[in-house]
Amino acid sequence: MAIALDAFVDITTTTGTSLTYSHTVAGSNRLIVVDSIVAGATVTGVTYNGTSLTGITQITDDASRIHKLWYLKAPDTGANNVVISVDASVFIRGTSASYTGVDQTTPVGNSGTATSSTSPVGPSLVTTVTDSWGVASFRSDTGTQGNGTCTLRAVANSLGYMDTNGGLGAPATESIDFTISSGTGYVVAAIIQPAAAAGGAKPNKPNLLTLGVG
Amino acid sequence: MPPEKVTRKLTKVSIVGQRAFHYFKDKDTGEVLRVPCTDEEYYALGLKDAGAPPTPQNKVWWYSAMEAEFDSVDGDIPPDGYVTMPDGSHLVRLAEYKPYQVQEVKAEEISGDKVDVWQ
Repeated sequence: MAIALDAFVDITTTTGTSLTYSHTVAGSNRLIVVDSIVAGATVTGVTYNGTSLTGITQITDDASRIHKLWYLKAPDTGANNVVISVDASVFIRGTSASYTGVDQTTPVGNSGTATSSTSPVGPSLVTTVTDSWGVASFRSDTGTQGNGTCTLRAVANSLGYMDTNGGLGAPATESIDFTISSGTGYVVAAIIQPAAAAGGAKPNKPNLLTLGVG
Repeated sequence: MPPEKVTRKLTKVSIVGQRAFHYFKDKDTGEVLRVPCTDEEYYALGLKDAGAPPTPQNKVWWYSAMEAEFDSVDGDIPPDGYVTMPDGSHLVRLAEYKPYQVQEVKAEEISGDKVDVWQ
């Protein structure tokens, strides 16, 4: 079953301790990923329809902004609210992306971060399931940002959210990245894994030709 | 005439508390409407199946936030005002912008309550 983007929302607020907005989720084998970006404070929690998300990993960029990825499998369908709570009054940006076709046992695989002045910028992550996707939060301190292996979903003030907008193919080590025209780029990324196809087909199904038939 | 940098004198404010707002957008014009709400109304949005807050006619809910309140006449960052954040950077509201339209500037860009802006 292939992963697909279901919906995407991007909100930035002024100085505050909490941000709440609506994100509509639909489909099957669902996953919601939230990218919280705050400066000089700590996100104390993220919820979707009252249920807490699980933190994946984070990176701090040149402007002391903390980019952190969070996820929740099987989020409730419908128009429900994302809440990002912070321990001090700071600029808060919340981006959420929901996906269908995601494995409900192990929706998130490997994760990592990268900081570099050489384009493209992004961590190399090992995928273990065919046609996994990469999701990430990014920032560059100068210049312009562009698509790398990832498609930029939202960019404002040189930072935002991106994903690979398609499966990464057979298990391998993949770069989850974006391009920069100058300066230094920062990325925090994770792998999300597809649900098994209906009928129980497995990514490592043996090819008859390798069995020495005949 | 090409844009040039001018120096603006800013008023510095501090955070003295917090208060909640709903933000709505007009369905036709996209104009933003900012409506204060109680803390209870705000936190209720985080409960299961809360949905959107009561929404004025011909508006759509954009987002809600528990925002900082500043030591100013109306509690907002004043026009040509700024606040310094915990990490040393500043949020600046230029006179021509709405209270919620602030810009982040680096610590060194404001000196003596003055900032250079393109105009």
